[in-house]
Amino acid sequence: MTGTLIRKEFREFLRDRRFLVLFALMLVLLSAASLDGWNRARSDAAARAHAAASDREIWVEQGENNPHGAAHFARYAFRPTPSLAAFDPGVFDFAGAAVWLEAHTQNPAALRRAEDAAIATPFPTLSAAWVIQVIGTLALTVLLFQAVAGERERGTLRALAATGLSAGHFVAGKTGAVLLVVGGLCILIFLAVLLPGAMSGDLDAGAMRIATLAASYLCALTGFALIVVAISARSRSQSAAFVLAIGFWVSVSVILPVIGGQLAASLHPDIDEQELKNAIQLEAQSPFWSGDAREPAVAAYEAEVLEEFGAARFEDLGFDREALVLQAHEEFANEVYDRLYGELYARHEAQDRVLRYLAIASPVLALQRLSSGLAETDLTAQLRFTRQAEAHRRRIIEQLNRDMMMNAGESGYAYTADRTLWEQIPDFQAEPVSTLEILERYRIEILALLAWLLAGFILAIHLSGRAMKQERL
Amino acid sequence: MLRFHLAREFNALWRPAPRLAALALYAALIAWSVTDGVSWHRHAESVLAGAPADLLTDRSEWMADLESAEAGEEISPYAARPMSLTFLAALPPGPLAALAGRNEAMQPHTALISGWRSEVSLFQRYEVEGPVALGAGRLDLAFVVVAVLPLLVLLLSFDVLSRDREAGRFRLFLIQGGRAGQTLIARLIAVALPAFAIPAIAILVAALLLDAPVPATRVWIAGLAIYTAFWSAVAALVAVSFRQVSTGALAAVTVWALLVVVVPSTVRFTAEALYPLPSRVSYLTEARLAEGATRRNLAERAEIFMAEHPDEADAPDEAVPGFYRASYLANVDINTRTRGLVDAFEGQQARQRGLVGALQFLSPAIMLNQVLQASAGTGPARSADFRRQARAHLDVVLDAIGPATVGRNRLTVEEARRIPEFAFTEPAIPLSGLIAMIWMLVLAAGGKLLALRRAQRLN
Repeated sequence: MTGTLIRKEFREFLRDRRFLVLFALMLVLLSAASLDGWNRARSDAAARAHAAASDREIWVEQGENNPHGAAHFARYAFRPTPSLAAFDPGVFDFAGAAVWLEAHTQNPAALRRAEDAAIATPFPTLSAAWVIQVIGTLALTVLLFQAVAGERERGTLRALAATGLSAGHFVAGKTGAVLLVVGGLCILIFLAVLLPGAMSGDLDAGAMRIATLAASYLCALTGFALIVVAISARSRSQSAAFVLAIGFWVSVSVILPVIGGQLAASLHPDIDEQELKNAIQLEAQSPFWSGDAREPAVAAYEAEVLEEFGAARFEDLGFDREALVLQAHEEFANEVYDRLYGELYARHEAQDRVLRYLAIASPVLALQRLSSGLAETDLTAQLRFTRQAEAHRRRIIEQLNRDMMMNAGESGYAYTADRTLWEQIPDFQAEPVSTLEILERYRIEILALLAWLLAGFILAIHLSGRAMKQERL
Repeated sequence: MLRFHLAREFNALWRPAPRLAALALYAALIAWSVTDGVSWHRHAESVLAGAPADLLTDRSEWMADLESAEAGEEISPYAARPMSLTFLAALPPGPLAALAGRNEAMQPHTALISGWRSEVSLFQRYEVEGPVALGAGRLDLAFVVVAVLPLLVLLLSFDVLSRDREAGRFRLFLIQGGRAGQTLIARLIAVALPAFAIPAIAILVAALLLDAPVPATRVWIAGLAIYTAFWSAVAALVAVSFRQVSTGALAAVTVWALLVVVVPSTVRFTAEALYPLPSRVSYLTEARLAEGATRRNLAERAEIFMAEHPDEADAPDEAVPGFYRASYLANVDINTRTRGLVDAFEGQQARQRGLVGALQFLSPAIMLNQVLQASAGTGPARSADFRRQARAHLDVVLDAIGPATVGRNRLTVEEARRIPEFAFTEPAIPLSGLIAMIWMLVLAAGGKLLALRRAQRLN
């Protein structure tokens, strides 16, 4: 019985020109967005790879130089473009692409792609993920708002109730058809994600990542669809169902994500750039170079060096004291940077947390967050990159300072090194993250999606059943 | 008669709870967006007012030192050096930026101009804003008007006739002497009036609070009125064209999705795909290559520069640090080497804007968005103008201080006085905005007339 009902409902969908029009529109938008996404991601990845290679070349070919002079000329760490950024750019374009790894100073990531936008439109540029999250849910709203309210207004619900059809079968028929529709959308997702990337060989995401992504979309879209069916069952007329369903869509897909970002920035305002620069100058530079922090910091680092080399006096080692002071400053400043940047990143994470908890109120926001997490285009991936880049900066600056300390002898800043040293300085390599780690981080969003799915099922079954009962009376 | 219909429709239309809730949500969004916008505007003004004075050169002090040096008095070798002249380039918030500043936090509003800067480092900011909040953008009034207003108008008026037709009441209404056209107009006005009045009041309040110029406020109110009229005409056409509520609903949402979401996003996507911008990362790479080359061949590079400026004697003042000359030359070389990329970047941006300007007539949302941003003094075009003007000012400063810096001299007092301060020149509001508004008005009037003719046939 249920199978017959599902087939009937699905056949009605297929006969409905509205369904075909929406399906075709989605397909066109998804294909265009996906192709463009892969194209952009590929050219972005190529530019970053070229920049990283050029950075190495510029570094190695700098000629003879004092190691500390070289540390000021410095290197860059470029964030690799994750392949799934083609599908879901998340906040990738709003986050810096490169970190300058200079001596004395920790720098925030710079070069945000979003700054290049020449055109302002009310909604962002198309991406496959956005089309599914926003346009896909709108299509579901339009297709399903009359699922029960339409039957009731046309009088067919009463006829169905009169045939003795149970509420369970009726709901199963409606929801089964919905699941088929959503399943079709999920196949589109696979096509959008896999085909262009697989054809060009750019897709390097694992099967588990793709499967998790598809399951997230299936779960979120089904939950959303069932809520619309529930709204339809609750409404007295098609008009009321339409107003409520569109209101629900606008709230969870359009308004909440924007208001969430604004609320996050209001609750946890960004640190002013000048304020951070001043703090760095006043806390990481001045106390050491012109204040009284220098002496204890140098003494502490000197003790470390003496212990390492088993010497009683620094002078016995024949090392350069200027370089010791430079590294002592790094050790001193690193603690300050851990605190200042710790506060900055804690603030960014607090902003992110606001959206995390708001995602409980919106299946679309929960999906957006989980999707960008799986695509590694979220804040967490960006912070991981900046932390790895800073750890790399500290490693290479120490390497340069120690070379000067151990080899400069009496020459001090007149000492120069050559490409033998430059070649020993490692390139920045971003460390990958596993899908399980991502899922662990996004457990609230996953729970929110499952809760919406469950609530959708319960509400759709309960309210549709009630509508059937009312018609029987 | 129309007044009677209007009074009746106002009562009837706004009684159902879902409609009132939709209107309340709309009003709340507008109140939120304007309150937040005004506070952002004031914050932006206070940030500019508190520009980092310690980073700027005190011109009078610097000139006094220079005059002393020119008079032959002994001053510090670091005093009144051309490289220490620093100017502030500031982009003040536009007159109604509070209402259309969705992505303004992303753009630079200040730049420090001096010989220590190249075009690449001119706008290199400490990018400390949280990407999540930046990505979401601010909910400004322009977004609410462009995206939410049409949805509200359509949502509340797509079924003004079909709900009666589907329920069989419409025939009865006509038999009793009712007229479809009058009912249609009355019901549309009942919806459009609050949809227009709430943001219009918000605009006036914001304009008063920010002391915005009257012409910009007029443009906003006129744009809002024409846009509301356009969507009211679309709602009228949907109302008279579809007998069934469900089909009318689909038509209304499809028109909204196409004109507000799909067409603008597709136009932008097409412009960005057809005219891709050179990557910022490539820009940085070119700058690094130029800097590396200059520093490796500094002596030779300085000799070439001095050969081009034979009037400046080289090395009269050995106390001048060598990195003054090195940094200056590296910055000049960076500018020369990256000029092609910058030109290509600006050229592609201009082509993207040109394409959007040509295709804007396909979507009233693009047309209104462009007009509102231009009159509010926000948007990427104004920001691009600021960057261009700041870069031009940097060129002026670099040209003025170059020979003296490389020759390890000071400027003369006369030369120093000729270097101007930076002043941002507001770009003219493009004429295409006016054409777009007229086009939208024509569409609105045509749509309304067509709908009325069809409504008369229903009689």
